[in-house]
Amino acid sequence: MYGTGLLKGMAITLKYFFSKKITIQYPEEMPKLPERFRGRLYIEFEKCIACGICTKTCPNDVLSLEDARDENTKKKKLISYTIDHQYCMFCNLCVENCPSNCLHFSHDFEMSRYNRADIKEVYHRPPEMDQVPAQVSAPDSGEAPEPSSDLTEDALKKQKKMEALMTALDKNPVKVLSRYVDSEDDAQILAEIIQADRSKAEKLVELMADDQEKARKVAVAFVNKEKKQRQRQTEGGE
Amino acid sequence: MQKIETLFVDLSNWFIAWLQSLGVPLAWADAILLLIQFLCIVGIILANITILIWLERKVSGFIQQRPGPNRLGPHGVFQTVADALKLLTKEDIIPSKTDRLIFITAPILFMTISVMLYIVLPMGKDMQVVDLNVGLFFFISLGSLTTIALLMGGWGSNNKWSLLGAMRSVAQMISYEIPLALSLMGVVMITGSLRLSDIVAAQDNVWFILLQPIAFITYFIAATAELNRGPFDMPEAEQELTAGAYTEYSGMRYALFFLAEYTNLVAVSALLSTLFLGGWQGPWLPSWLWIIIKTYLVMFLFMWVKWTFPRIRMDHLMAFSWKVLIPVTLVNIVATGFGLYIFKGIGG
Repeated sequence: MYGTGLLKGMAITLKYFFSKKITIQYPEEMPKLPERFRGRLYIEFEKCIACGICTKTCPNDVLSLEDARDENTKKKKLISYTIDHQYCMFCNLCVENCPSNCLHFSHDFEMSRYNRADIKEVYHRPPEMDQVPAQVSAPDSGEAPEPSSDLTEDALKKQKKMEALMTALDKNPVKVLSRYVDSEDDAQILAEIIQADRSKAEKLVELMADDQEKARKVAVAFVNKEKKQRQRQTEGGE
Repeated sequence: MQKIETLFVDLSNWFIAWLQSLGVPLAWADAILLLIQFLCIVGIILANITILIWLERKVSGFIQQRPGPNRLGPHGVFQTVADALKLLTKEDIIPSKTDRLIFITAPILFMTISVMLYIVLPMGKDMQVVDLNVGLFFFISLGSLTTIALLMGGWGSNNKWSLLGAMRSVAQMISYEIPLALSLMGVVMITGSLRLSDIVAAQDNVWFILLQPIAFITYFIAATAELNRGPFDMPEAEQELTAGAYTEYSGMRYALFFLAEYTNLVAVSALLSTLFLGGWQGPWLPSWLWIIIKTYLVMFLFMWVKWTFPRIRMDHLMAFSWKVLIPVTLVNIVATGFGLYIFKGIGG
């Protein structure tokens, strides 16, 4: 019969009229993004080994990095990492090729900025990664480190650093110490030692501010000594 | 209750009495009242259009499972106001090769005609600016005059697309004029009057939608085409043509055409509820509220249809009018005549 199709159509639209709205109200409500959505590219600075493969593989020259040689270990380390998002086409080549899996796409897609310069993102080496000022190997970087001519200033800096470390140690000793020993358990033992003997704590802090590697060695030595002592005690008890 | 029912009538009576107490002669007082009534009509139109455009966008959104405008004000109610302000502040562009006089007068004429439709509409018990004895005829004839305004717009633009768009709408509107008028004949035959207040009074017991269901449907279809609304919106066809006869118009001139179309929509919906849905008659609520409720229900029906059906093809559009609607309305008139004859034979 004529007209039944029309009525059917009207019934469908009326059903839609009263049904739940399916649009996502974006600024108030964030869209549910798929797991592998390619949003803003970011780097896990600590994991980067400064190999530079990402910069070579990027077809649009989005990525650039600044590296340096570590004085003690002679290892390459990252000083700063720049992602110029305006040229990124989210091709995933850098993420695929990163040997240390430190590049990722985040779910952040709100990348508009008021100025072109703001689109560029520069990651700097966080200061807690190395308490010792790093020697920059790249001579053309223009940021050659100042020679330690001003001794008093250096001393002051060291003093401040030590104070900061001491307060951190008082607050959360396990967390701070776990950087210097192999496991959390060891850090726990070390924390107990330090709490028992204040002089040991001061010695350790001085080393921490001065030379990371030495501090590490000393810390491990402390822990080993304590472990042996405890073992002896338990043996003696039996 | 009685007070609310006769609120507006009482107000006008009180106003006339007040003017006369100031020493104004009755004829002058009536003239002043007429002016105020005109202003009231413009106010009603503007308020209704503001709501209507918002409602249209809301309804279209809801039908497409999205919330529609929702940024400005609660549920986006101020969206139309913002749009109107934006159109008002736009630069007034008149293309250099236009027929200036016709180009400028076309939207004004369109709007004027649309406003004039409201004069005869009964908006409640005893609430009618002029109760013409040929009210329905007046409405139909004025309604067909909008065709001229549209053609003026197309011609004055001096643009072949505008002219073609206008020609198409003229062809469509003239074709649908015939079933539009013919479908109302049944109602007029039953009532025996073209006076709208008589038609409302005749629906005291039974609404004409029950006596004339076919006329209601044919009038609804013809009115949709006459209003240039979807699925008969060939003259504009936003997705296919630029804007038909309105191509060269911008800013407030374009807005006038737009507003006039919605003004027509309100008027036709009000007429439809007056002719077929018992007008302002209804229980409990005051009469002027009933006509508003019915008008809005009919307008919702118009929107529902517009956002459901796809646009009809031009040749189908004309064929539908000449080959289907006109024969159906003619048969309806004949059947109504027979029915009336038999009914009167039994009754008298």
